[in-house]
Amino acid sequence: MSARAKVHIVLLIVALATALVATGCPKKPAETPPAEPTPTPVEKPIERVEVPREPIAEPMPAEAPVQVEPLDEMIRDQNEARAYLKTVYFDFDEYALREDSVAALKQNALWLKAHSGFKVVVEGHCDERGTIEYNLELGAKRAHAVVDYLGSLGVDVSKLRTISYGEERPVDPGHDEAAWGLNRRADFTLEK
Amino acid sequence: MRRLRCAALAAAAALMAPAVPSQQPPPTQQPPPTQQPPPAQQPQVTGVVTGAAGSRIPIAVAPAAPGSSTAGDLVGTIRADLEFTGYFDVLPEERARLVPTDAPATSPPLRDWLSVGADSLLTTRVSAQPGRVSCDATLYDTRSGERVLERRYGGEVDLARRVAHKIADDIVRQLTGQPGISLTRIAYVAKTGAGVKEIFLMDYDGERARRLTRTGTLCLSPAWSPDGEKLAYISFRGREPGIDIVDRNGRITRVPTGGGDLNSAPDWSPDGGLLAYSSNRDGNSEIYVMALATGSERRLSFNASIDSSPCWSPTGREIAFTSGRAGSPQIYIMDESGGNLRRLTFNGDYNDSAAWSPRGDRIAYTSRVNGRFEIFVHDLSRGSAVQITSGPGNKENPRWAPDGRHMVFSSSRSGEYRICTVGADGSNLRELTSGAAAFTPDWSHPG
Repeated sequence: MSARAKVHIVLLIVALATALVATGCPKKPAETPPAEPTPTPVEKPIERVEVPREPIAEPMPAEAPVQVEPLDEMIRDQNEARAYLKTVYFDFDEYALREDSVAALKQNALWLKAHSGFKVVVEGHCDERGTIEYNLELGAKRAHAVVDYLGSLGVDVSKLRTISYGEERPVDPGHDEAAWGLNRRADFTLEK
Repeated sequence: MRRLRCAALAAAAALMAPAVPSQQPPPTQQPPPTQQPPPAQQPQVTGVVTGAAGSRIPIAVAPAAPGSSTAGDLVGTIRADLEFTGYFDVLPEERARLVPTDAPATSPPLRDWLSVGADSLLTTRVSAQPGRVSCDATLYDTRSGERVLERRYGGEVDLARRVAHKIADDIVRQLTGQPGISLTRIAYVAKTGAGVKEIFLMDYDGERARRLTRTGTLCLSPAWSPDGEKLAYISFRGREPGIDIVDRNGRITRVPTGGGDLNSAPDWSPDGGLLAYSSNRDGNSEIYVMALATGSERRLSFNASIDSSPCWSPTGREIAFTSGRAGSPQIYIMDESGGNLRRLTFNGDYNDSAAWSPRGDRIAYTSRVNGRFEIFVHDLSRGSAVQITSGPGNKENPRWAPDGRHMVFSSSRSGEYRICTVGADGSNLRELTSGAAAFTPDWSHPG
């Protein structure tokens, strides 16, 4: 602050002195009425500021398509699996298995044990209520609860992979209890 | 720093009173004799507008020379930036028009500006060369006539708004001693297709929005590195949810978290050397910290329920996070070592998304009230929280601006989710995005 002020004062004095010399005006600075400020009329070397482009400014090129799985393909997979493997549903904010879920998983376990050649993805999902990050965790808990139970029924869990989509992939886009009840789920996808 | 601001306010007060007597409210604070004398902190100065955000500095931005849309846009951007800060009372344009315009641009009629209430005056002179924009900006103290700031700003022509933001930030720094936020940016995710969300970036005011990632899958929860040069975020590329970091050149690297099917919610330590995140690598979601230089990880939480969404304190000594260990999601704080655990929130059955204020005195979070999420701010010294949002829809994922005076969050208040900013006291709500649904914003640090 003080250094900057000094610089300004020095520049001001230099500018005023230059102005006096240039105009030949003998008027003393003290005669300038204090209520009538006038900007110093002489240009000083101006400080230059270059505003740079911000980092991470450029859009990134599309990633290699091998990493991109079209959603419609996933939905086809899911439909195929759903013919054999029942989706199980959860209560709000819960990852404990309900009675109806236990019954469905017992059926799924029979099929999985009889078809051990398949690799299966167990996807945990949530309804839209709740926060994005916490729902990701909740979806993982649901998928793990399903796999843990299938393991207890004798299913080879090394053939099962889990993933949570949180609230990101609802089956019912609605915003009511019926939709939410369908979206709080763990469903089964055959892995290619 | 504070002295600067005080000096500016004192100067404002001293000159405002005689300069614009017609603007002064009548002295209403005369207490009847029977009442107690006014408290000692009664405002002594009537010339400074006092609002919820405190005293403001009167400033004028001289209108742009007519005929140049570049100059008009630039001046308009500077005005909007200064108004957004909350530090200033920017002279309304109709009052600025009272000032004669026949004076040469290099010697504005400071006494006339003073007489309409401008303690400080910014003049600009814009010139355009091919592919570039240049602006001479001069900030006058209208009483002393001193040019307290005089610089020639330049940049590539598509950076004109950034040139304006830089000028606004320099004025904030000059008159308040505080760093400005006009050059900061907001990262967020927007839905670009069914089941697809990508990272987007925009200026703090919602302008210059552009898409950053093209993963074709889910990206969530971007978090700025403290130097503003990198973003960490959750990415589902390869269908393996993990944490990716994109650097200033757009190069993406996957953070080598040690397993699990969910590695989530990254947050950088204040020095940028550590990343906190949640991972279920040990079978259940817990909070971990990784030293980015070495890849070594430390586990901080040990509980069979969900532990998620870690957030560093600005000192780096503590971490706030969400845990379901009490039967519902609540905010907790632990030391950076993982010890000294204490629960922060007790009201409500769903509290999440802790965001520690830049000065460390407050923690913002989202809390479910009557089935809807609202933003709350917990004052750590008072030990109590206030709700700063209301109205329809959810308000989620609050993050602080680096000035500690504003926040960004996502809200479904108008139907689809939008990125919104709001003053830390709940004032000045703005919707920054339109169109595609947008979520999980993060406000960059001053660059």
